[in-house]
Amino acid sequence: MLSRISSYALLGIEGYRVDVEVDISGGLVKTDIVGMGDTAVKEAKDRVSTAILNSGFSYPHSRVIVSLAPAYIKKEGTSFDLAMAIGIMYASGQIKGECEYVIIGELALGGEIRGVHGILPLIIAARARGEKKFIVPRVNALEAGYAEGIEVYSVESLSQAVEFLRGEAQILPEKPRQYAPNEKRVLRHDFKYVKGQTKAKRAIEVAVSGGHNIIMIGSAGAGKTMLSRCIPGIMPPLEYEEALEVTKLHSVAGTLDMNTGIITERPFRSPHHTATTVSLTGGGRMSKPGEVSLAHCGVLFLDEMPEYSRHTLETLRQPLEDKKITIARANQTVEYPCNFMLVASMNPCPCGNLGSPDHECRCSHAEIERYRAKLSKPLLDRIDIEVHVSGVKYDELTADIAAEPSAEIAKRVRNVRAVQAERYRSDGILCNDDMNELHLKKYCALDMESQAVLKQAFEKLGLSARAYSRVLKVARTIADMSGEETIKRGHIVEAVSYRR
Amino acid sequence: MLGRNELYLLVSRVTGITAEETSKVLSEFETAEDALSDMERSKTFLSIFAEQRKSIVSKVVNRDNFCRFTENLSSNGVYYRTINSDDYPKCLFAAENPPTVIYYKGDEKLFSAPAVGVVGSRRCSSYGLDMTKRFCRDFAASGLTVVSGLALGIDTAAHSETLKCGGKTVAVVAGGLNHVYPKENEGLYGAIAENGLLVSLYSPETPIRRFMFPMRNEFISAISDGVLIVEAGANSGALITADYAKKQGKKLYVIPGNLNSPFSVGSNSLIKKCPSSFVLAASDIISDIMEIELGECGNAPEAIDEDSLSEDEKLVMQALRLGLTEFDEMMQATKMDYFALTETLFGLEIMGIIKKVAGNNYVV
Repeated sequence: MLSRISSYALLGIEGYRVDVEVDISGGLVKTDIVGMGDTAVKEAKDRVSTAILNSGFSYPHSRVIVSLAPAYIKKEGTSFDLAMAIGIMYASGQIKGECEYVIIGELALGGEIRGVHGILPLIIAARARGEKKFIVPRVNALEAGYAEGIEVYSVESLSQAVEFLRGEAQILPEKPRQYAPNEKRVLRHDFKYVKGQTKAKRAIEVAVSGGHNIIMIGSAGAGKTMLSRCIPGIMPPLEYEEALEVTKLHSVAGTLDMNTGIITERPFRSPHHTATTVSLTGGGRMSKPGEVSLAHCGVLFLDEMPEYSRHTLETLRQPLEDKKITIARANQTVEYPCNFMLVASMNPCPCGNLGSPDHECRCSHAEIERYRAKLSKPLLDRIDIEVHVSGVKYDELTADIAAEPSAEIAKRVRNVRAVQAERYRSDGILCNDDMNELHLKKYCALDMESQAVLKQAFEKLGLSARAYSRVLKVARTIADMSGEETIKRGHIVEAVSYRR
Repeated sequence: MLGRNELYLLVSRVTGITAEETSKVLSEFETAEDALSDMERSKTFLSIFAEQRKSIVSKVVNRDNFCRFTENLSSNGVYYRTINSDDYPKCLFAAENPPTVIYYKGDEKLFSAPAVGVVGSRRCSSYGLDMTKRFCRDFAASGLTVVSGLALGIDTAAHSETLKCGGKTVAVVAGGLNHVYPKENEGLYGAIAENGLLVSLYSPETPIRRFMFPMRNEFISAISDGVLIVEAGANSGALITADYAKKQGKKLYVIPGNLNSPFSVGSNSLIKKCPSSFVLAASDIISDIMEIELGECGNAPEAIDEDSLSEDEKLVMQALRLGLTEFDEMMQATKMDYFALTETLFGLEIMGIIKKVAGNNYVV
């Protein structure tokens, strides 16, 4: 007899439908799985047969063929186990009728159902194809509940699933969950604990308000890392669509916490400088999102940027430009979004003491040049704001002045972001950093006075031509922050102060 | 013409030859023509001194090679003076071993002009750079030639500030004149060749070696009438120059530095050893060397027209002079808000009065 169960598998962060067909016919007692499965898929036959037997059902004593269609796509992983087992139960007549559920899950030998990665993207893809009912592992229930307009049934064991399909047992569908960003979050890293650093803090607020990439330069212990850890706390909360996308990415990568279901906090990723290129960009044999994608909608923090390998840094150029990364491998090409804010830090020189009043810098001129040259011009061109962080003096540390809490700053940032979203509604971009040359012409017109001051800055301070559009974008953000329609002289002056 | 001078030039090209050997060769032959027309004899004669120099000798004592060498000199604008000739710069005799041949590019009159050596560490503080510029401005104005070593840091500041102010400057470079070191100073090298004097102890193609740096310090002192140490760390090469100055009986001047600063350890201890080297202003040095009387006022910081500054700008300048150079410190001291201070600093920077340096620090 023949049965057909629908299941879904991942290609990048999108799901596609896989028909699990099972045929049981006379012949040699043997089970075969066809349809370009990897080792995990091939091994499923042992997990499935053992799980069926251990759940108290019988495994057919004849030839069993399991086919995963479409057969031309390579299938990976264990998420077809449950669908195969249920298919065998149908084909062998142990469950009667037709299966109207999409079934996803991994089997343990005892018949228990284990969770799988990427439930949310799978379900969203299935919903888009009109699927209504799902059977998923219990541990994935929370995550699955965030997809609206469908019925999700979660099961713990194969026997429970079979009883449910036979109509012998009732399972209530999962309650659909409402997305609610955590408004009253308690921040571990809050700007109110950062003393002094007026300039750096302001520069960070400007950067976050306009979505600009930022690099902090300062000697060791000046507080670069602390400042950057505070950044997610002042970013606006994730919108539902963003949250779904972030959750999908983390779900696919397997970094999702099963207990939270959906990600509500903007990600903060800080890969160590020994990171390999593939770990940053994504890819690998079983294609996984890399750090740039895991930082999607959040912050990618590269501490001690010149310590990363040159090659690794250069690969960031295209993702920074396109906000997505296309990973092409011989057998598949996938695309992951990666719209992140780059926050980098570096020392002013290899020993870290250049410009410090207390310590002598021991680096030679050539060493400093070599250190700085590790960051290529095209890469630096993508970083709009450069700010120096100077070490805080002891008096400042002990002074009992409360700094402004992150929550206050976050409120302002949110308003400025809203202004930008409104302005760019018809342009298909979200913030000032996304502006292209056309947008610059349209939205960054300068009056005579600010044009004059910009000209002065270029002539007297030796700004490069590349700096021009960077200064304009940042000036636009500063104007937005002070609620002005047009860019004024003061905005340009401040933008120039965040120059290289 | 291959005369007596050319013989000196020819002999100087045998690397590693000692003074004693040189004089023997010079008494053996009358002119370069002599030596080159009887190449076999001169080769054997020269090789007696050291067997291992045979290959060098046969390369150097060769009419074609020698002619090519002299042609290259003139086509590159490099001149030379040999120790026997009357136009050999007299000042070089102050050195213990004056070179047989000296190569130069530019204005040779500067050899005999009143000059002061301005030296300091390559790694220096913004104070050091500031002082270098301040002193060199006055030297340039009073027509005193500034001699230095074309290294980074203080040397570079001394040369470039002097040229900027229309003064004359001499650079004693470490290697041959065809090798610009450090690379960063290529532009400065060209400017000095045009408006000043470049001096080298080695033939132009000689690559730079470590030992040449302390060697040229002796000649910075020799060319100068006095040596000013701007800033020197504990083991700075500038201290070697100071030693030579004392040995040669030149006047030594040292600018006092901050006791906390590692960049001034060497220069401050020089003052302790030799209190008379202490200087307060360029006028001290100018009147000393040029033997003219100058008032105390010779050395004001570059005249900033304080009256033309706005109230805010005056406040910022006050804070900077008090040593509050960091953005936050200035904000506290001037009680200005972030934006006003940013504007003011920008204005001052545009006017060229202050400069942003590493950290959020500004210097006058």
